[in-house]
Amino acid sequence: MTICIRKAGLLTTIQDTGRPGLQKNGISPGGAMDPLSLQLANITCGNAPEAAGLEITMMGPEIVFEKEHWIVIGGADLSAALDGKNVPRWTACQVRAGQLLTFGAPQEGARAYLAVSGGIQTVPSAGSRATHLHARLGGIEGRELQAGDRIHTGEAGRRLNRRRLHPDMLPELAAAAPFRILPGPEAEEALELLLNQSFTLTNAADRMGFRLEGDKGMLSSGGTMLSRAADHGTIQVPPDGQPIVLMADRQTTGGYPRAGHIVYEDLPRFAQLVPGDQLTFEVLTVEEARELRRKWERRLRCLAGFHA
Amino acid sequence: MITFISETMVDVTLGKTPSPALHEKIMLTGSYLSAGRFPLIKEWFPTYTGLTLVVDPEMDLNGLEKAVREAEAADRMDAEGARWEIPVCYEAPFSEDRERIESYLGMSWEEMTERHTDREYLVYMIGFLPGFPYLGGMDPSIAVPRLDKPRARVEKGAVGIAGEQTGVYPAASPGGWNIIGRTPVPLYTPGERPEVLFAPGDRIRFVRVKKTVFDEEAVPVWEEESDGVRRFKW
Repeated sequence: MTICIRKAGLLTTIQDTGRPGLQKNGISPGGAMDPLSLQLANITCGNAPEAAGLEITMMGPEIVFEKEHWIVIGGADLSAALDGKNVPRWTACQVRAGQLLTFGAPQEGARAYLAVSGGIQTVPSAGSRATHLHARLGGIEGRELQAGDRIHTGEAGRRLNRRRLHPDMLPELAAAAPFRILPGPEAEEALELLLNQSFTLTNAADRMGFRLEGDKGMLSSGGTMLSRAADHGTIQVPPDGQPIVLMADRQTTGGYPRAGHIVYEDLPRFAQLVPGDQLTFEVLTVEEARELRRKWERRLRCLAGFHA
Repeated sequence: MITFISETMVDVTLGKTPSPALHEKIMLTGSYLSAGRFPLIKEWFPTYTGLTLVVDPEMDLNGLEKAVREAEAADRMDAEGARWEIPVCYEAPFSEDRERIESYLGMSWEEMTERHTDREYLVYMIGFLPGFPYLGGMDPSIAVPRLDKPRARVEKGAVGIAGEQTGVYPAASPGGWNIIGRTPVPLYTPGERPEVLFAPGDRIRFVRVKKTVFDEEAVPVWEEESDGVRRFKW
């Protein structure tokens, strides 16, 4: 089973749920920017949640299917179409040999996920197929996909007909709600700065991090602290007062104050922001955030079991 | 002291000031915690004054505190790290922040680079980017705060200073450190074993080299000499 990239698009990469265990070498786990959408697309497609799929950014690729497949598109609405006919999101769709998948104008969100039956089957590196761009690991030679790439997939499983994701599980990508954060270890002044204004996502937004822009103030100090660990979702505030949110291919450590951390459940929605989008933050306690995370994991496990 | 960074990442602080003795304690504590004794602890790495753990969402604070106390009481170890000499060119165009540093420190470039090369540094942790060594033991008289706004692009091999830390960028990336020079030595090679050159516990001395070393086609490779120091050759 093979799919073929006919046109590359803006940034299309092979992603799964990442490569934990290498942070001691300075290599972050990486994986899908919106792991929830990838996992839900996989589950709907009859795959294991952690199977590899394609992460498609803003302007999508053109993909030819050489054999019959089932596919599910999740995450952003990037106007996917099969031989010109609209493909609904979160719905299993049968693709015949020779059909062409294209994308058009972005309608909602920034990153779509393509799950294919049997999953993408490139050679894993360090236990994962996720493309980590600056570590040059995973995917095809650690790089983004380009025209001419032929990618092996697993065997198409049983018929999925038009299986849909349960409406209760649909992620709300476009909600304007504040992003919930837990306070970081160097919260104080930097946390105040996060909570007292709204921010705009700048164009400096890639798989490594998102830079935000606010109009209130600089920090009164900073720049000399010892570097410390940071996670996917950690918000660093440099002295210029413009926060940086670390994303999937983030650094593993950093030296600007860690003002807060976007809770796991809100990270998918954050990853779907488009430059120019406005956002605000609100704070939870660490315990509230950890309880949300536990509940979320249980829900996803339960859903995966239900669909299996 | 235990502080959550995210729902599943935790700073465990074991001391206030970085020192070789504290580093040894950190490494020992980390290996104890990671030896399969605590299945809810998924991953660990050392930092300057403690360690960072990645834990399962089900791991509670009490369990964590108990594990750390048990690890701190464990026996000492005495693994010696490797010793390295790393060639660095401190000349333009690699000394990008020379003016900023000279005016901040009120010191000549000759004096600054002399102080940067006159001692051995301990690798306290690898972090930030694949293979980025965080070094300790720098002369405090050449400490300079990070840039107020990080640069969009720092080049591969750039040597930098951030506060009292010094380190080397293994790949091009955004970064907020003051850039003082560049090394031609590859610090990270995906697919090689090990893929990163340095490990926590290694010792590094920088040696000044001329810009012409960058004209060499060949990638420098190291050889351990009779004094136990690994030096690079072209």
